[in-house]
Amino acid sequence: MKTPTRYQKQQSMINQQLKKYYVSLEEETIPDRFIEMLEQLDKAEKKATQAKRKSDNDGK
Amino acid sequence: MMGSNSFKKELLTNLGSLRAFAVSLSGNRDRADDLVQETVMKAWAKQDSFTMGTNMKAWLFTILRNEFYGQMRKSGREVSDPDNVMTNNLAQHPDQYGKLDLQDFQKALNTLPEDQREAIVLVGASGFSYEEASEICECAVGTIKSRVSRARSTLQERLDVSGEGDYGPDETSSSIPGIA
Repeated sequence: MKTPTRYQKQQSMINQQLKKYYVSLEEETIPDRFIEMLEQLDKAEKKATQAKRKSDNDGK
Repeated sequence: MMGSNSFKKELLTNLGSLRAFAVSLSGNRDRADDLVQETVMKAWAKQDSFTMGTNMKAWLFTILRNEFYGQMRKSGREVSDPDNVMTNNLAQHPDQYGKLDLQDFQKALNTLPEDQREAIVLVGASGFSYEEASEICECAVGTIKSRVSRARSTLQERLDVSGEGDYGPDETSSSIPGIA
């Protein structure tokens, strides 16, 4: 195996740092409000679907 | 179209990465959270336009990116505020930044122009190919390649890495053969 050049070593360090930085961000706790917001959106949609089904059935 | 349950589930699994992209792009956690919130709302509203089995992460990143540049155009101001961000974040998240080298890296990353920063983050950290990144950024593959390469050399200059273990012994660099 060839010994990596100085430039390659430097670039590989940059890559490592970047990944480390990004992973540290990914691992931060997701604010609760996003989870809550998704639950709300989901609930609202289910309600709307049910209401639509009901009105479809009533229409028959 | 996929059921709202699986759509929600997949969206949830991508939230961490989406937020990481938002922080890297805006350099500011408060802004990043606003961006993620807008993105989730928009994604939810147009979930019918998402094709099941395609790359939801890329789809979400595209929405977030458009939101980011849209806000930037609207406000007509520079988005990055790296110095301020550093103090804020250190006060708020001391446990997230155990090592000085990571802080230095964040500072250096934040000094890059937005187009270079997003290119190097998408390709070097978010796990997208050059092709996917070019679709997300709506530009040619060659443009992404040259932005990534410019970003890399700038980071190298700013961080003044010698390639001889300047960052000191930490578990990442010392585990790479030929570096430590």
